[in-house]
Amino acid sequence: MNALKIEKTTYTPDVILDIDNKELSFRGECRPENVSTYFTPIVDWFENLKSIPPTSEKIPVAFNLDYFNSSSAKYIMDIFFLISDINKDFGYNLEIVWEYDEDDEDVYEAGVEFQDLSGVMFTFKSL
Amino acid sequence: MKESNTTYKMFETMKQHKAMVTYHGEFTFESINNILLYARRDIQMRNVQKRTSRKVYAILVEALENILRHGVEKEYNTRTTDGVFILYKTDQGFTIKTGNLIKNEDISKLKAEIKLVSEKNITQLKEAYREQLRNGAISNKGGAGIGLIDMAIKANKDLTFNLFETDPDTSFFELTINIHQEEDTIAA
Repeated sequence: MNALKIEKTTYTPDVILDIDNKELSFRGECRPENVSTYFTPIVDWFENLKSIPPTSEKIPVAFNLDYFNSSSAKYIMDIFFLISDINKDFGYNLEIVWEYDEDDEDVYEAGVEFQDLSGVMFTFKSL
Repeated sequence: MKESNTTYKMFETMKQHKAMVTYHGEFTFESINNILLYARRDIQMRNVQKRTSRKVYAILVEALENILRHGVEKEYNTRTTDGVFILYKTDQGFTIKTGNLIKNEDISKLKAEIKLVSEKNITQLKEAYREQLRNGAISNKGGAGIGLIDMAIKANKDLTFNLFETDPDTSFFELTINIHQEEDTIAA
């Protein structure tokens, strides 16, 4: 499946979605000018994953977002719902790894909140 | 000399009130990026706790995006709105003030959000935020409808609004948010 790579800017994260190389990550700040334009290819990439035969191997999806605005939060939530579906109904074993700065309680708490809402177990990793 | 005197008075007023960053004029995605850059740099130079500076930054983004998203668009460029923004240093921490014109036809949603934020406590606001994340939709203006709720939670509800008509078609929306600086604690 085609990889999706989006380079980091001061207001959007570095995104790597490469299932063949088992590299999936979001790293940086997230407050795009237009959230729907920005997130549509990302959401589509996860949707397309449903039609790719899975491996049962655990594949981490790293989220290292030091800041995201409230409209991005809505889309990030949707990505977690999608990952939940992909694991439950399409045989994948995607592991959400929520990375946060050791002293950044707010980002940690946001991760706990996303975990509770999505019903997917996160792995928390302080950096 | 009267003209220059006016500028001096403005300068002195801003200084007296410890205004850190002040902006009046066109709000575009680019101008917001610049304001955020200056504000972040200034906050970081003041040796405040990382947690406080992150909180101020997060609220700044939402407050500035609100002006861009809901302010009255300029006739000559629909990507541009008009508004005013001031970031102050206070004894307790920081204060953010924003103001923008809003079309009366667009104020019903804002009024509903103001009502929600005024009536609910922090726990209830967090629940409302969760509910929007679960079931809310992105509006045609590109917002998730949780900006005000998000700011209220982050500022521990220390915020005030003012919305009043300026003419039959337009109103002015003022928002003041106080962020309390966390006491310096020595990590164990």
